[in-house]
Amino acid sequence: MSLVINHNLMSMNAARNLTSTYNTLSKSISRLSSGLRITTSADDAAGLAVREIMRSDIAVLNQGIRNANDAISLLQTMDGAAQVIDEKLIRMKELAEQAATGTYSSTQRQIMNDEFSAMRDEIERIAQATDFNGIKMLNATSGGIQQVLDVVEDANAFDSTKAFLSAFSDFASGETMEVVYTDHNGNEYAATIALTDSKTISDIMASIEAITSLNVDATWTAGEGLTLTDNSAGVSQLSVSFVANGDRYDFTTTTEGVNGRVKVHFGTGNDSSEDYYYLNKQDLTASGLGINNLSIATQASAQAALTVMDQALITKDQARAHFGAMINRLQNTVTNLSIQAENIQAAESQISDVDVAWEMTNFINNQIKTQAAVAMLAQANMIPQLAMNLISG
Amino acid sequence: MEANYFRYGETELKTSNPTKIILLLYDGAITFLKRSIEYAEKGDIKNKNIYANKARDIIVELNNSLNLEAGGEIARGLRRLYFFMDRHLMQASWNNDLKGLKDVAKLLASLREAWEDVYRQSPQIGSPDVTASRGITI
Repeated sequence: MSLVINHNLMSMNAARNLTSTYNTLSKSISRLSSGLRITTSADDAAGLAVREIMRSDIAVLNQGIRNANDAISLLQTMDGAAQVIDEKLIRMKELAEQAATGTYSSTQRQIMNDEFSAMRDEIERIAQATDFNGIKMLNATSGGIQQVLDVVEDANAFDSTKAFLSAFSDFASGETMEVVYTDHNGNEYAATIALTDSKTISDIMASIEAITSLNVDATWTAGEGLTLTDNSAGVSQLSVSFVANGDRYDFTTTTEGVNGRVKVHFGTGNDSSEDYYYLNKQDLTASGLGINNLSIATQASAQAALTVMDQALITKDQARAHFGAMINRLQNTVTNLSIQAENIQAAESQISDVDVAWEMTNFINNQIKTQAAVAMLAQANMIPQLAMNLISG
Repeated sequence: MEANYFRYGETELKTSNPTKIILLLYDGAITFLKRSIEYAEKGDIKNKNIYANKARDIIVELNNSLNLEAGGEIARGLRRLYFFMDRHLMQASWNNDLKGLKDVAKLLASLREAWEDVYRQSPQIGSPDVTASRGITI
């Protein structure tokens, strides 16, 4: 991950504002600490500039850490709900097993089926209702991941999706449209779709779907544009371009977090996999688990239900495995970002455990008390406005 | 609730004795941590994370505002401690480790006690009641 700060007017403004805050601050510290020899901004302009750049780097890293931490909480919330679904599924399997033996009357089996149905309703409710800041991850509308692609406007691009549709219609017979796309491993492919006068927009959609290595469902909705649903299991971004008549139309994801997956951005840049991950939404609804029409009211249906329940448990395991893997991955990411921050801020060796931290704290506590003036200088680069924002939470 | 607890005007903070700002930041971090612990005990992951993040932001800012050139051994020691607290806090939050969160609050409380001592030694600027029973027991 690179730490290059691109030319960015907003960040330059922020840096300028920070400079003026620093100036105010150092003046007030100079006043307050009269009699103490301290380095003012005027004495050490270069040092101050370095500190500001460091602050902005650290701020970016910390925002990344915060984003990753939020994602971890999101996943923990979802996994907690999935765990409850897990318990319900196991109880349903027990009930199915019980109902599958011949030693119960149909009335008794009906009672088991009532509990079975109640469990299923509860699973449906949990999958539909569990949210984190409005983001739901247990009721993905379809299995796997899905992304909606829309037209990106550029100098040559159409100004509306309707124009895109008419552009398709305008192609003369014998022309070709090239589809260029990057798969989940970053490999670029190209496919060609021949256009004839008789081809309709749905023929073109079918041609796109026919590209097996692209593996998407393509639908065209008038007034809304083209929707490509990614059917493969990869987690990196899929990009697709259409090239025809010398123009290239790039499509990119516009509805992340709504359909199929949630993007977690933690890096300083925007390069796939180095700077962000996707968390795949899962479908743990009754229909997603395949248990929506299940009944154990008869011995035969209960026996059939056992196989379905096994499959439902596997689906649930896969969902939880994804949550668990992403939690681990994000925790590693946070650790790496912390190490970067420590490297930038020139920390000496890490404190390994809480006992060492206590020794160190007792030592520093004593130092602060006995060298009050130095202690004040140690913590002197405070920005009052920032401090106020932090504590007013 | 925080709004009332930390009702300090901007002007007051800007003209404050810097040590008072340090004390307020420590108080904020300890209070947010306590709240995070309360939510963790209730199993409220979302709010646990929100308040752990707030506490963490303050620790990060305390770390950012260290002056290693002028602050000598104290600044270097604090840097190592703030980094430790940052990491320890995050890991404890991930694992719902209440003891870990309390450890960080206790470390902060110990350092706060030292800063309070500095505040008493420094010329009193701003309201004099800043140190009145702000100690927070965990």
